[in-house]
Amino acid sequence: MSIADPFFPATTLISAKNIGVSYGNRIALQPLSFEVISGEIFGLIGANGGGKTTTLRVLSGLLPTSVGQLSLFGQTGREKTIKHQVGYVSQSTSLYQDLTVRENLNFHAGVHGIENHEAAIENVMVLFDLKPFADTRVSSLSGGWTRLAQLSASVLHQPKLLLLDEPTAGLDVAMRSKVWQHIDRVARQGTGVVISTHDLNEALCCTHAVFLADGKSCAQGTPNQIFAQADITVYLIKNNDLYRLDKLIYEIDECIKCSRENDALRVVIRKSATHKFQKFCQRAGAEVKTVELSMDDASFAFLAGDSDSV
Amino acid sequence: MFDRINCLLKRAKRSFRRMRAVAIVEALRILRDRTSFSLVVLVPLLQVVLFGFAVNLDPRGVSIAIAGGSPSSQEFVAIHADGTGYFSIIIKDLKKGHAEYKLEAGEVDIAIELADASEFFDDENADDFPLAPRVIVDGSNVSAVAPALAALEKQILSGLLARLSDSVEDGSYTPPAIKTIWRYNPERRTVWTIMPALIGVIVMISMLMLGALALAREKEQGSWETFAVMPIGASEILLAKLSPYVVIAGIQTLLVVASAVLLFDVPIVGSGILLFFGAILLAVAHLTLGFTISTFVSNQLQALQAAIAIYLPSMLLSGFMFPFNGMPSWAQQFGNMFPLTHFVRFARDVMLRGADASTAGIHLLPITVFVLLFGSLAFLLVRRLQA
Repeated sequence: MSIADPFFPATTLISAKNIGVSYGNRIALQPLSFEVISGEIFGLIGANGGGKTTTLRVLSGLLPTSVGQLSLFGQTGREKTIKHQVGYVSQSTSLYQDLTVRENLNFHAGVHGIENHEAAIENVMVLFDLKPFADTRVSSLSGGWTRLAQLSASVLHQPKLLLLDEPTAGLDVAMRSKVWQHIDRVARQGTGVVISTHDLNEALCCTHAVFLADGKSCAQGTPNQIFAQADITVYLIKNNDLYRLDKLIYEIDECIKCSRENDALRVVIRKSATHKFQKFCQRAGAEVKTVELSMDDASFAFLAGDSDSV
Repeated sequence: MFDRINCLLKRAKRSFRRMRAVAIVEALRILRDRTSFSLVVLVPLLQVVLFGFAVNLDPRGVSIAIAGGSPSSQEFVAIHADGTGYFSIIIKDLKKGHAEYKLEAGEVDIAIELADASEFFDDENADDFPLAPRVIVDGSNVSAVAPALAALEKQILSGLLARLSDSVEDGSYTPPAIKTIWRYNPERRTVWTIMPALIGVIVMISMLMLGALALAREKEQGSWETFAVMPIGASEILLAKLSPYVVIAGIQTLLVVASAVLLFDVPIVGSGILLFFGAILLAVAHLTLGFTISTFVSNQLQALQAAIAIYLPSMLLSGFMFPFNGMPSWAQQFGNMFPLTHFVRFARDVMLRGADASTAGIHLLPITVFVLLFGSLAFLLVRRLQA
């Protein structure tokens, strides 16, 4: 974990105290508190529609808070000095499609007033392997390279805080891994990274996270702590009569979710009911296999159990 | 045979269902895009109102000054001018030469200089008639005065003939020939009056559209969010985004002016630099207006529709295509709210009349106020978008 590095004494970059967002009577984000320190990768995790993007938009200043207090670098305002220290990658491509990668980077360098910007651009293009695409228009790049170009533009001015809204969405495994290498490197250099993701494996790469479901914070801590709080186990079960099995499984009150997955049923059960479930499977003559839980499973668990919000 | 007909009917029915599905979706999308839908209704409504109630091909309210001659001969001309229905501002009781002076100062469209009777006759009664009237016409807007002038000439001559019918019949008196001088446009070339205004029209349309698209494109493509989180102020965005378009406006102005001069021999009697400055000011006015539009709209289609809804009345009410004075008072007041109206007067003054900054500059004042107003509004709206 990069935050343990003694050469980078951790400083608080974000302090959110009960920040919430509502549109009229509709609450988009229930009061939420957390802190992000330098060098950490802080995850806003959860299934789609949980409030991750809303939170990130609040942090980036694109959306005002309806309640609570948000401070970045100890300041509540959004002066230019604060903006200079923040890098932001939105979910959609925010680069100019009709400009080349170099032209886009030049624009970012200019707005951030980077001195010796040509060297900085060369440097960032080398770091992100973008040299071969320097003079390619962004519209001609693949999704993965576009995302890398976007990421490179957001770190060009060496921000202290990097906000990433689902930066790996729609990318293949190789590209995801490449994006994460860069995120790790940036964090190791002392930049605080806030990333939103609905991918469980990516969530596990975060140092700390907050689990958001239905616009509220369900759990907070390290990813492992969060998934432990979900208090569920996920099984794949199958027998000769899946239809009957599907009906009977809900006899177990602790069964949160049961869905068809190929020739088996994917069952999400509270850990407390493990014994009861195994007995049920024995009776039904079902084959049982434990599988990794997904973000959706955890969301269901937190919402179904009305877990204590942190 | 029956099976075949049945089959064709079924195919037609399926085709109809498919088309109906597409048509419903299309209709729903139009209805849900409220801005576009309201503009679809607004633009034709605007056209109907403007063409029906405001635009008038006949000039009205043409101003005229009468000088020289005797008071009774001036009265004679004034009464007959009034009788045409084209003139509303008639200045008389001027000394010889002063009507022409008023035309040169841009105060009137037509100046009538009457000769003194003593120059021609000893007869006291001759004082009652306008002798050898010299009519000087401002040719910088031919279409706005030509029909009025024709009517005036006819009216005066017929009036004279009626009063002097006996003398004319016995050959003792010949009605005076009316000498018409077209000032600033001796050959009455319509293209000379169109070209200066056309500079404004071209600059207005392109700048309004480009300004309206400036932020709409950013919003539609998602790049606006980058601006919102970057350390750049609203005024910096506004000035930086508009500056390339100002250069485009400058190039456009030079192109139109060069074409006007080289292809149609349109003179630039006044200062070319002053004309260029005016065109740039007009460009900035429409860029700020366009930018204001682009803060409201959410896509490029809406931006273009809104731009059309603005430039259409601006063009129709500016005096570029139809005589400004021919419009009813409400339409003139509405027209005066658009910068193009003032630019058309400014450009004709500078190019054809040779007006200098102190004279033509008066037309730039409303445009400057417009720039300040919409510049401030655009700034506030961009700042609100950023927050």
